[in-house]
Amino acid sequence: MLTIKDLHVSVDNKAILKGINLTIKAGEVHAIMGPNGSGKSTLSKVLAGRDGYTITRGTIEFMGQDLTELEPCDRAHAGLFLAFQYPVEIPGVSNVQFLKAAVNAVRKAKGEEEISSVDFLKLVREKMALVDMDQDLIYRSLNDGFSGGEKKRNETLQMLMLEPTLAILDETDSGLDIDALQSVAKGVNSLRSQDRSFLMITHYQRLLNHIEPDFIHVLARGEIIKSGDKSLAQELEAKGYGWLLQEQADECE
Amino acid sequence: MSANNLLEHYKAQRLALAQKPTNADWLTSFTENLAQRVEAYGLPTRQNEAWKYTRLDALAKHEWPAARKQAIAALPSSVAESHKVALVNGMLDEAHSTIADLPTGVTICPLTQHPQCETIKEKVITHYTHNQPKFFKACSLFEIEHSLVISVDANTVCERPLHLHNLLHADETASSHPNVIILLGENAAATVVESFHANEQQHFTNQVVTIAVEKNADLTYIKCANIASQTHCVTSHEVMVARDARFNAHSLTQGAGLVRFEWNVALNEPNAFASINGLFRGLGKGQLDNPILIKHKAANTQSVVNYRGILDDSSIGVFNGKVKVYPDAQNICAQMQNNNLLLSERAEIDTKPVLEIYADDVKCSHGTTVGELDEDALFFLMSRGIDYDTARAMLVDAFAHSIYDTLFDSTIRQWLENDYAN
Ligand SMILES: Nc1ncnc2c1ncn2[C@@H]1O[C@H](COP(=O)(O)OP(=O)(O)OP(=O)(O)O)[C@@H](O)[C@H]1O
Ligand SMILES: [Mg+2]
Repeated sequence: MLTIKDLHVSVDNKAILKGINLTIKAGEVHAIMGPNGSGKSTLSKVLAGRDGYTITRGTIEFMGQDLTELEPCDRAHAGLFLAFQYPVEIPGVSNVQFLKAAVNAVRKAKGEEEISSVDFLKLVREKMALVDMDQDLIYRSLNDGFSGGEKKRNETLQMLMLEPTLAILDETDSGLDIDALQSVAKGVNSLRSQDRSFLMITHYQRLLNHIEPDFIHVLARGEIIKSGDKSLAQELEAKGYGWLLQEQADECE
Repeated sequence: MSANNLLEHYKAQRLALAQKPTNADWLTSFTENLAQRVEAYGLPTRQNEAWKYTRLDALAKHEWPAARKQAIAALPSSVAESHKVALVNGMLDEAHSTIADLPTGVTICPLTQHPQCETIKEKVITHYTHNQPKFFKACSLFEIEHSLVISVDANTVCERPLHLHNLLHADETASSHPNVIILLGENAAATVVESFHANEQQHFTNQVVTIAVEKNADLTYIKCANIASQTHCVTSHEVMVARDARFNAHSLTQGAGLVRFEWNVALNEPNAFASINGLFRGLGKGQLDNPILIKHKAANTQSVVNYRGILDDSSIGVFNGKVKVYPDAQNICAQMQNNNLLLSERAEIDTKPVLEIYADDVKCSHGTTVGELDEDALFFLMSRGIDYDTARAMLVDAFAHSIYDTLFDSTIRQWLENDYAN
C-alpha cells in the first residue's frame, strides 16, 4: 500500500529526515515512536503533501502511484488521511459545512453522487456517537475554541466520515483523558479491516494497549533506528530511548 | 490636473446648472454657494489627504453627460417582504416601486412633493452651511431639489424593510446624481437597504445621502454596491445622530470598478450611538475607498467602526478612518478596527485609522491588521479532499463572516449572500 524508500527531507535547507525506509501493507497497523523533534510530524506532513518540505532524495509510492506528484486533495481522494497533531482552528467555517464539503469532495473523486443532507446528518450523528462527541460541536466553527480533547475527537470523526485506506494518526492520543482515549481507540478499531492500514505516531504505550500494532518503529534524528513487534513498546516504556541512541552511536563508530 | 482631464468637462457641466434660473430663492442661493465651492476647490488631487490613495484616472477618461430618464424592464431581486423603491438614474420609477401601501407615517417621494418639504430643506441647507461640501459633494448637491426623501414620522415604526434600488441604466456613457434624504423622527424606527445595480455602459454616479436620526430613533441602513469595472460610484453619507438615537450602518462594497463610500457621522447629542460594519472586496483593478469620519460632539456618545477588506488581483483598498472627539465630549467610547486579507501579490491596502481627541475622559481604541490566507488552514482543508479553489473560497468567506454576522435580519442576510454578493 505505502512504500517509502530512502526518503530525505529538508526544511529551509535543514535536513530533517535522513533516509527513511518503510513499507506498510494492506491491513497492517504500524506505530512510530521516538523522541521529540526526531521528525515524526515531518514525515506525516510530507505524506499528506504540505508545502515547504523539500524531498531531496528517495521515493514515496502509495497505492501504485507516485505520491509526491499529487496535490494534498488528490492524496485524500486516493485514500490517504492525516489526523493532525495540532488541528487548525478555522473561525467562520462551520464544522458541519466543512465535513459535508470534505465528504462530497471525496465521493465526487470516486465518481459517486453527492450525499443527501438527510443521509449526511444521520451518518454524522452515528459517527459522533461512536466517539462520544458532543453533538453541539458540529455546529460550531471548525475547531475554534475546541479543547484539546475535542479537537482530537473531531479529527477522529473526520477519519470515520472519510473512511480512508491509510490513516496516519499524529499523536491523536496526546492530551486525552482515559475516556477520550477509549473513544478514539473505539473509532479507529471500528475502521480496522483487511484492506485498510494505520500509521500511528505516539509517545505512549497506553494507546497501543487499545489498538494493537503489528510493527513498531523508532524514529530518532530523522532515521528509523529500530523496528520490532509490539513488545518493543514495553521495552521503550521501561528503558527510554537512551540505550537505542547509544547502540546506534556505537554502530557508527 | 492635465488639460485633457475630462473631469474638467464634468465640472463645467455641473457649474452650468448653477446658471439655470430657478423659481425658488433658497435654491438660487444654495447653488450659488455650491458653485463658489466647486470653483474654490477644483478637482481633488492626490496631494489632498482625503484623496491620497484614490486614482481618478478612470473618471478622467469620459465627459459624463447627465443620464436621461430610462425605462427598465424589471427590478433586480429584492429583500423578501420589503417595500420596494426604484430610482433609475436618480429618477423615481413609480411603476417599479411598491410605495402606494406604505404604513401611515412613512413617506417616500421627491423632495419637492414632500408634505414637509420646507422643514426638510431648512434642515439640509443648515447642515451644508455648517459642513461645507467639497468638489464631488458640491457637484452632486446642485440637484438637491431632485432628492428622493424617505421619511418616517415621529413614533412610527416601519416594520418591513425598505429596499431602495439604485439603478444606473443608460444606452451610452452617462453620469447620475441619485441623491437621497433619510429622516427618522423622534422614537421612529426603520431599516433601509440600498443597493446599486448598473448595466454594462460606462457610468459615473456621484451621490450624496443626507441622514438625520432624531431623538431616540433607530435607523439600520445597509448600503451595498457590487459593480463591474465600467461603473464608478462616489457616495457621501452625511449623518446626524441626536440624543439617545442609534444609527447602525453596513457598508458593503465589492467589484472591479471604483467605489468610494464616504461616511461622515456626527454624534451631536449625549448618548447618541453609531456603528458602521464594512466589508470591501476588490477584484480586477477595483478601487474600494472608505473614508470615514466619526465626530463625537457630545458626552456619553459611542461609536463602533469595524471594516474588513479582501483584496484580490490588482485591486486597491483604502481605509481612511478618523474618530474626532470634541472638547467637552466626556465619557465617550470609540472603537475603530480594520482587518484585511490580501489574496494576491499585486493587491494593495492602505489603512490608516486616526484618533483626534480634545477631551480627556475618553475610551478609544483602534487597530488594523493585514494578512494573507493562512497556509496551515488551506492545507488542512485540502488534506480532507477539498480542492484549492473551494478551500480558498471557504477561507475568504470565513473572513467576511464576522461582518455578515452583524446583520441581524436573516431575510436581508439571505438576499445579500444568495442574490446580491454573487
Ligand atoms: N518549518 C520548520 N522550520 C525549521 N525547522 C523545522 C520546521 N518544521 C520542523 N522543523 C524541525 O524539524 C525537527 C522535527 O520536527 P517534527 O515536528 O517532525 O518532530 P516530531 O518528531 O514530530 O516531534 P514531537 O514529538 O515533539 O511532536 C524539529 O527539530 C523541528 O524544529
Ligand atoms: Mg510531532
